[in-house]
Amino acid sequence: MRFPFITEYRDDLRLLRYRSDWWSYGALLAVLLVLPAVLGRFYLGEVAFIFVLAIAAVGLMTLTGFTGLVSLGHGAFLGVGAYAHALLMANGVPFVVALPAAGVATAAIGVAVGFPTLRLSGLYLAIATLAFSVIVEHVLGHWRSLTGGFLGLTVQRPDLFGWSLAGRTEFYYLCLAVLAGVVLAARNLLRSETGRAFIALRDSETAAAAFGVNVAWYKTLAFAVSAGVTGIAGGLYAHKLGHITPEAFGLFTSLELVLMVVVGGLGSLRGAVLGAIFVGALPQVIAFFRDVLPKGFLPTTGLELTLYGGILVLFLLFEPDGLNGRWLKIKALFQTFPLYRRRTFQRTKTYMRSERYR
Amino acid sequence: MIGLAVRGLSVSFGGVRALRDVSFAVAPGEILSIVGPNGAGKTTVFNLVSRLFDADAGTITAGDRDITYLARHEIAAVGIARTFQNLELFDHASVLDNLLLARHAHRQSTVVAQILRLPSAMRAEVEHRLRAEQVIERFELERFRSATVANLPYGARKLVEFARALCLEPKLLLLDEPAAGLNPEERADLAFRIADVRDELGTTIVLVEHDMGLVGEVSDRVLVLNDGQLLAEGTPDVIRRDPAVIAAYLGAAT
Amino acid sequence: MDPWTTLAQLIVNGLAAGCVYGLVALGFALVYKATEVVNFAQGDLLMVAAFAGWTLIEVAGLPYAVAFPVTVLLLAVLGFGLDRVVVRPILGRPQFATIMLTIGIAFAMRGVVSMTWGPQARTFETPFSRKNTPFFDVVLSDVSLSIIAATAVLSALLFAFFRWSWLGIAMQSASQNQMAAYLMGIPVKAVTSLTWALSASVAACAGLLLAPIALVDIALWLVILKAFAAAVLGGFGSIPGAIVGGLLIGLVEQFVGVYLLQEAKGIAGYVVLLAVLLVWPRGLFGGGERKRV
Repeated sequence: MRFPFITEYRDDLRLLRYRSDWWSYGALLAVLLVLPAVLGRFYLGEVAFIFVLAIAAVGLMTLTGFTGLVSLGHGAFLGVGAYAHALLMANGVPFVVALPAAGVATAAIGVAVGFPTLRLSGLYLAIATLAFSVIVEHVLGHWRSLTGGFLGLTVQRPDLFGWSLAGRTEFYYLCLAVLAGVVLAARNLLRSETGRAFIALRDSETAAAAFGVNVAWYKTLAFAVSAGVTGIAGGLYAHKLGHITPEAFGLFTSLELVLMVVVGGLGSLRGAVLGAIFVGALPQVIAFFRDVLPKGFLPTTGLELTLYGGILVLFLLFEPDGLNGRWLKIKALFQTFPLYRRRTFQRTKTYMRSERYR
Repeated sequence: MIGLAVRGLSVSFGGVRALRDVSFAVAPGEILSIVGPNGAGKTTVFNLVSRLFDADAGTITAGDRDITYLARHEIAAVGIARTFQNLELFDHASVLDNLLLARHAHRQSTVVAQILRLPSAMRAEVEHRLRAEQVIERFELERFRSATVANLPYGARKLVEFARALCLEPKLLLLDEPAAGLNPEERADLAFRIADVRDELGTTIVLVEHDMGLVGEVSDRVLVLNDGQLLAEGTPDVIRRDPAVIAAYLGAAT
Repeated sequence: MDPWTTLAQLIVNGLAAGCVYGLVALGFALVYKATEVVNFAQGDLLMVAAFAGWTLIEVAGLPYAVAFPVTVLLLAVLGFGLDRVVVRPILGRPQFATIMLTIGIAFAMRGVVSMTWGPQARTFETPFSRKNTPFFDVVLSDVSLSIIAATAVLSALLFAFFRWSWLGIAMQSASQNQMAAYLMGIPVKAVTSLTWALSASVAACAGLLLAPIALVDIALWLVILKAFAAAVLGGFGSIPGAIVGGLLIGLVEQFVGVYLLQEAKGIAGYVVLLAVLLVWPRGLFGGGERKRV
């Protein structure tokens, strides 16, 4: 383990606290910046798609991982963002305005969902958001005059002050920039007063209120922030798809998003990104093996779902901290080699604690 | 530092009268202990003062402010902090973050300033850290600073909860069974810390406690509740000899 | 058709659909009471049962009367196994973890079914298929009637089971107070696993009853959403509430579709669900207590 040598309180507030962090994050950024030069067009599109998923996952992580509010309906927020963005652009609003506006519109919907469900927690919130997801998909499909129904809506090509962003490389950089901005903003928010209030609500609502956290306000704020970020992801997703239909934002998408944050590791932004990589890359990995292995060796349907489900179950049973937890352990193994002990990360034993009375 | 005055407090839950017409006052800078058998309504008094639920009748005044109808999150801004008998810590956050959250009532920056890390947000953050570090030093919690609360031993968690309450810079501190589950050494430490907080910071302290030894050691005055009613009031020595109190504790009919 | 015939048919159709919702809701009420785990895979158990029933009838050629109990038994074993292998180790973790665990199980089951049977929908023959029973002026389909009758019988059996059998009483006591039940000599772990088995067999019954009207298809799992509406309306964890809630949701859907707005039929149940959660979270039969600090 390393300890930073701190001489001022401000040292504690730095984004990158170790010299090695500068190197590793710098290297990561460099790799991401030169990636378009090396990667083929198809895979570049897929990586950009993972960035979009990661933005949405950061949005959901803020709500579920940090504030402890379960949402099984974030696919609907993604949809609201996508449709809002597509409709704004169809009505001549320039891209730079439309994308944040879509985020704000989705945040408003988030408030509309979050405020009435303040009293609900855990299970009931999960079910309510699930119902919300189904209702939104249904409304998108049936409000033909606005959304084009199940035929969908064609999305205008994005451009920035007349410079087209529709090409693969341009779109890749666009998604990368938005993701970096969102992660940075979320990181700053979550390690300041507001973020601590979120975490307090997650761990003990009673104590949070006793220390002055306005429960209703912060829960609604968490919903707004989370929905807003997911809405921005929705706007980018709309461009990625080119033509949006309600099915793209249904129950399955909602569950995929939850899968990302759980497999990634609740309560960590790195986890959100890792989870998005997992969910976004798995179909490509399967496709790769389908090409390599003899024909008919892999079943044509269902394999993806089985792996998603199986991996989710295995993580919950054996690594509840998700990919992020695994990452931290591997890092510790190298840093303390050869002194790493499994016990370092041993969890305290948990006992059945009723949540019926929350 | 503020006093607390409770007048004619009554509350019942589903037909059970938890408190019946309870009145008492705590002077600024005083240490008052509330004792009584289980189910006497001691914690209920705390829950009413911290506004977790509404009283059926009566008023609660902190300093010169009527807090009977405040929302539960407005209590912290009045300067009242509390601990919980079954620990309500933020388990999956570090000790430092637990202490920093207690500074919530003193927050000064806006959401936008926090996202952009504007100088105002940074100044507030440094100020909070300074205060939290002072409490960490006072309670000798340095080695736990960045540990996750859930992984700490019970005694340490109790101490963190006390420290967290102190981070609010309270004018009135409510401690709900701070000695429960502590070993003798930790208990002696606790007695010292309670007296120390009052003597150095002047904080008014109300204590709910079963450990009569600790109560006798630290309190200026003791209040005995039995069955939701005020049974006796006085200095620890007087209370220890009061026949009604002895009867209530030993279960003899009076 | 005259309005009364329409009304009668709506009621029967609504009740039939409602019975299925009620049975699924009853399935997770059982498990929820016992372990506080909400089984998001309940709909998938139903779906697996429908596919198993199809295989036994159409591939193995078993008669319906044999295939039905065999399927129920298979699902009981599956439910028992799920509790033993997957769910047991996670008890005691936050509720969210258990929700995600059952969602993971649901994904995996859906994937395995899709890999085994492929994506196409199918159907199997039952003694009730394509038959009707005239009832005064109204012609009622036998399939609907079979669902209603079977649900009534099943409810009566479950009532008797919980009222008079040792195991039923043991299940109830284990769900009310695990520690006390354990100290009274009830093998709580085994009883919990058996509760899962019972819950899965109820889902199996629902699946086999539903299959003739809904096709044997992966999408069958979606019935769980309606069952959530039923469970919330009836009061989560209440067994009579599950059935009553299911019947109400079934009826509401039919009536909204015909008398209010055709487009709203599909989501009427969810609107009711949200309304109940927001206005009256305890539902019809639910209890409520507050957390102690």
